[in-house]
Amino acid sequence: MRALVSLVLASLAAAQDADPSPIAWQTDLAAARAQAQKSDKPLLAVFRCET
Amino acid sequence: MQAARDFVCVRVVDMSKVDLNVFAFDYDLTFAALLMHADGTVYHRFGSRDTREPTTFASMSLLASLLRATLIEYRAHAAREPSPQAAPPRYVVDLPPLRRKRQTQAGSCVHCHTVHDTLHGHAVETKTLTPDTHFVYPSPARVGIELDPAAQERVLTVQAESPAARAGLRAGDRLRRLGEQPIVLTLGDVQWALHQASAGDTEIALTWQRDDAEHTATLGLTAGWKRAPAEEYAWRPYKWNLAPDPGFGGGLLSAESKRRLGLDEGAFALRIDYLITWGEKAHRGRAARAAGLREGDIVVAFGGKADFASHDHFQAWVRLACKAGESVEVVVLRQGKRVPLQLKLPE
Repeated sequence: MRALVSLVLASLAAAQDADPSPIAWQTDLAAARAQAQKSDKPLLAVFRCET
Repeated sequence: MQAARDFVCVRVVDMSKVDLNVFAFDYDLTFAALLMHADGTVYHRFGSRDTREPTTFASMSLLASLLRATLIEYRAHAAREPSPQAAPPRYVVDLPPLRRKRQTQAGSCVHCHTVHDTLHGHAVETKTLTPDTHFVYPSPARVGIELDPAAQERVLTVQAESPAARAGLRAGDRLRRLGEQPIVLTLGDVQWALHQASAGDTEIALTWQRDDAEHTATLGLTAGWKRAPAEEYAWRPYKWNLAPDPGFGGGLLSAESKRRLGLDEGAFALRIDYLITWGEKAHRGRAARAAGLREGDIVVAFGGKADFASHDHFQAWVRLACKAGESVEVVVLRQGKRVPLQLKLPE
């Protein structure tokens, strides 16, 4: 599973490198939800938990 | 991953501040994604798995496609008004089993699987546990469906005589709606719909597309339909909450080690690395020791079964197939000899 997590994050990071507007990953779920509401955007919530 | 730029993206590694009434997913997963509206509507769940590698149903290309599809759904979605009947927030750290634990381990991160551990412990304490509580997020195999990992709304096979077959579903059909899931695009969507359904006698509404026509039917399910075989359940951390357990664990021998011991390459051979003689489960390790089991023993059969595919499979099978109080024969290899032992499995 770590491989998948790494793949997701690495791919997103690679996409960022090729794009001038990076993905702004947040870490505060409540704040992100509020921002989604305010900016009229959907929310992508990624839960990454190592066992 | 251009589509992700149209989302507000958030990464969560600690479940302590996550409202379980909004962010509901299969907490056994070590990676999960919810694609949702700020009003709490979850469009899709991504990251689910089956018995195969975790990446079988979760690739970057699938996530990219899902993000694009979700954007279309989002733009067609009218935000829900806050409901006065909406459930209040529910945090795992407020449940007594975890609250007590954190009093002695303050500040530790709350992992996803800890949510299942805590919900299970809470069900035990409140006497709400049922024989089906632990069969969370059932596989579509429980209703006779195998999905295509590359296009997860597409039915790859339908098991003969299964609920899905009786409903009229066929290989190649594309699932559209299932129970409470209005649009099916992922394995996680299907599992969510099955998870929401009763574990007793029940029916789940199902709509699928075949060629250009939509078809609707119901899956007729009988009590106990969520119960999974150990092979299917083995990957779940949830299993560690269940009893009985053998009171020991370890690792499977390599092919070379088995050859040296004169065992077939495909034989089950589990070296006991530890007896659980600490903590709240210590009585189980003590029972194993009292039965004569020792660290270093090689278990080659347990309860008459000798075809476990992995340590996880072995542990899941003992918990799902055996009963507390039952006596089972454990055959171990010790100094080149097969030694049969009787283990009474404690609660």
